[in-house]
Amino acid sequence: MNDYIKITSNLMIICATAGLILAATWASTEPVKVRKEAQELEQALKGLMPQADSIQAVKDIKIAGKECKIYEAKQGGNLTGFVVSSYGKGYSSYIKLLVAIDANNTVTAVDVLGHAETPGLGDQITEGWFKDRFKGKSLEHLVVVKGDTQTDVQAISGATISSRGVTRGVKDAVEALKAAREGGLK
Amino acid sequence: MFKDLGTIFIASAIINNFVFSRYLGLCIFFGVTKKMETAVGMSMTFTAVMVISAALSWLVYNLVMLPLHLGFLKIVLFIGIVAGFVQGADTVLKKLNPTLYYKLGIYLVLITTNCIILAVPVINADEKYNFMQSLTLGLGSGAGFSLALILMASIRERLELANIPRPFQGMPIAFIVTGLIALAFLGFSGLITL
Amino acid sequence: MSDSAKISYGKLITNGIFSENPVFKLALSLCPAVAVTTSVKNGFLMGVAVLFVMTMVNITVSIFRNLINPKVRIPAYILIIATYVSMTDMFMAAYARTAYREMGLYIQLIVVFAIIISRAELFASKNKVVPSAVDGIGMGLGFLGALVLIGAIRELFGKGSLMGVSLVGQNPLLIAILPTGGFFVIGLLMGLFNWIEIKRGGNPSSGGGHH
Repeated sequence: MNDYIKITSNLMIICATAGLILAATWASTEPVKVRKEAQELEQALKGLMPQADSIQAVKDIKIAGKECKIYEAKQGGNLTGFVVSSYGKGYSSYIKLLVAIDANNTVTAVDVLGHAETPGLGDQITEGWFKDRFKGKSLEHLVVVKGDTQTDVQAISGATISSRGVTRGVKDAVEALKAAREGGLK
Repeated sequence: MFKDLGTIFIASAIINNFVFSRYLGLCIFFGVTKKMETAVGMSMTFTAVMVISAALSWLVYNLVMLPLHLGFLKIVLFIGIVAGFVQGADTVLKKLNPTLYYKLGIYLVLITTNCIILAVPVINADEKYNFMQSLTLGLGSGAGFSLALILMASIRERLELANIPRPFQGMPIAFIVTGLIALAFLGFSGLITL
Repeated sequence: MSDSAKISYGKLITNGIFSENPVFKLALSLCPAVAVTTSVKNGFLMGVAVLFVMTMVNITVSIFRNLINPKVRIPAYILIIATYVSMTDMFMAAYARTAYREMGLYIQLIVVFAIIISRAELFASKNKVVPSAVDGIGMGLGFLGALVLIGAIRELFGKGSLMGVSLVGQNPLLIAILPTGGFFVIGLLMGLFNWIEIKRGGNPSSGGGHH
């Protein structure tokens, strides 16, 4: 019995020490992590809406079953547009997106924040020339087409599914924004 | 909801197979696939332990740790749960069903240091899956791992009889075979567009 | 005395890098070797993380080797390892965010590396602090070297670059950075190591493939 107590307390001490060390590390690194996450998000948002001086989250929504947000962009107190975070089901991962939409529900810019698509093929969705294909597209034109097209979204050759994934995510973002604006909770 | 669970299951079992796409569980994979018998034994034991560990980890993580803001202890916790559960299962099995214990007992111990066993609770926590989703991931990963083990074992049993150059005998050729199977599994990506 | 001690330290280190290289000869802790070696940078960072954890664990276990009750030593080792891994994880999440995004999961899995716990058990629990630390460094360097080597080959063939600096054209052999390529490269490298061993007259490990 005595033996039992000895080994248990031995292990307990080690547990407690480990716990304390981890708590201390946590306390010092977590604030840094949170701050950096906020910075990165702010940079991404600003990148999409450079002239805006204020971008505020106004609504939480769900896209593809995941938590997303609608942000309002203002310049000098006037509404210039929106940014919606979104997800699109890609070839081998959920693609994390930020979609900048103007007051007419037309896409002005798209940013790919994260993905795990096929290197060399699907990962071209982060290239500027692909993201540019969404500029000026409204809801009806957010469709992927395999050949050359200016009115719809042209797929990346060899990465149709990844292209579709991004387009789906962008479309869902626009639709969610429309619904929220019509619902008046804006 | 079932569509969602079905997606998670197929994704973890086939498309993002833990062995061939995520390179996890290689530890045991190579050790146990020399014979079909051991592969099957490990498959069953692993799936059982995986599902239960996923469930236990989820419960403790979401019902105890998060409310207490102890999320940063998750690595310590998960490994503790697995180790504890395996130890417990070991003792219980020995008492309840000695024959089964005699057959499968060794695998239990090996499972503790299996990468996948820790990966699943971590993924569940990071992706904020709910209980059913976590269980499905556990089940899917077990199914995928079993598939991988059995495939590999059937090939390796044949390999024993093949004429392999000396430097490649054993591990090197096993790795190359795995690479070929991984290539085949690549064909599954995009199966259900995730 | 100090001279022979120096020699044995050197030997400890080369042991970790060559004759008992964790990845190529002992076939231990392979999981991450394939996963994170899609580029030199990732392989390097993972290697550094493992080097850190291994050395610190060896040092800690050695310092407290007489205070840890033998009956609970395995759980104790696991706790110690888990603590250092958690610390590494937290540091990376705060200070190496891009790398963390790509390899975060695998960093957390360092906890189950058999190599760490086996070194703690085989060496650190029976030796003084400095030799234990050196052993940790040796094994860690072996691991780091292996990862960087695999990462270099895969990045060179797969993306045509090294450390992000483009050397050849676009994606010469894309398969190298896919899982398949990873398995192939490691299999071939292992075969190479074995071949070298045979040439030197030794007996190549046909690898039991324990973790």
